[in-house]
Amino acid sequence: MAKTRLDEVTSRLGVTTSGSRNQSEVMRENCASLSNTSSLTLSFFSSLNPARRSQWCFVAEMKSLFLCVLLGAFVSCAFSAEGDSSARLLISKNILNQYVVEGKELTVHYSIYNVGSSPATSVSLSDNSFPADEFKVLHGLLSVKWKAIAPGTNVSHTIILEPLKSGMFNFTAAQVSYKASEDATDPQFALSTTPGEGGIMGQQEYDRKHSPHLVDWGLFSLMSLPTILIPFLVWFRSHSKYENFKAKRH
Amino acid sequence: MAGLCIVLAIFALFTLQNTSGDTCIGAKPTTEIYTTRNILLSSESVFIVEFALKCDNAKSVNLYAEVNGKVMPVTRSTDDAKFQVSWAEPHKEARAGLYKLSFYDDEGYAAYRKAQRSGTVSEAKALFTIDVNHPGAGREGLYVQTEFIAVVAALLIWWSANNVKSKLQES
Repeated sequence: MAKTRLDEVTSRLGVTTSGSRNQSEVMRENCASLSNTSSLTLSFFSSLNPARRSQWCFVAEMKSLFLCVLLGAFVSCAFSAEGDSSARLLISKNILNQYVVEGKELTVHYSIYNVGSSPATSVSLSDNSFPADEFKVLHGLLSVKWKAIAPGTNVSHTIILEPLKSGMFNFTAAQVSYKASEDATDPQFALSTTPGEGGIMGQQEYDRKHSPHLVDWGLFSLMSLPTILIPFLVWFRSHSKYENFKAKRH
Repeated sequence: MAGLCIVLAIFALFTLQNTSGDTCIGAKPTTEIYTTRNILLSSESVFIVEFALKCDNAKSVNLYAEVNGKVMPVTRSTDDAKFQVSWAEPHKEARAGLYKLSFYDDEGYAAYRKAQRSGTVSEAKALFTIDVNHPGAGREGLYVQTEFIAVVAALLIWWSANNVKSKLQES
């Protein structure tokens, strides 16, 4: 079902790629003619992986571009398929964080799905979109490979990074290369979806929102203590005197 | 005829050696494990097991990992130095506790699939296993916000003071 939809998208577009052209250029071209098919791809994407929609706050105007690039990635994958007995890989790259915070863990999740009819071999994924001066790799490997991905199956890969700077950052695509069929000599290149531009929250801002503020509350209670304690003591004294007076009278 | 037999025998011996060369004998993994702790920093619970494998014989081995009946191919670094198994589950499904990862090579995986079909999974022998302890993902720090505690404390003080005051006015 998903495959036929993809074919439909590809045939509706009728765009061909030439080997010498830059892949992102091709994708940008695709974007221009794709506004009417984007809803189709969206439903396709959500049927593929409904749980993986990260709750990532995008800049509003980047959203449409993101959709285009996402579609472009799929379509460029579809172009690469020749004939029926070949592998087609769809690659999604997601940021799983609710908040991306400087100095805290950033979870990046890749999943690769083979919609083709034969296994993809010598699959390698590498992500060069995280510059070393802005991100530190805490866990996981940035460039990995699989021997084969069987048709109709998916593999996933996760890495944990630590952003070193706050501010806006454009999360771009990861590169994947694979052999579409057993006897293919040239590797096929594909790009993942792009999570898009997102803000990396500063450490102080995150603490202001989410830390327990124990010191601040401690100081506040210390300062408000006299205003409660002094009237209480005054009352307590007169009260105990009055109680004594009552006891004497009896 | 006898010559042919000898050639065949030698050929068989070589192929046998080749197949045994693909497995890893005496596998010793050195692991580094990460699991999600803070739900604010990940919308799903993520498990990452990185390991380097030391074998007594083979240089290259293709591995499969199995956890809770789910089998996935093991990812390798491009320079072959490290392996990685990673998967993500919704927070509610990723229960806290011990997860047991069993690793199989190509042959072992075939045997595992065979055992799975005949319903005797426990008989498939893993090459090695890695235990992953997941303490569970949650909020960092206190369970309730300190603002809530402060409001409750203020209300309590006001309530008790008001109680005393109304008692005084009654008598």
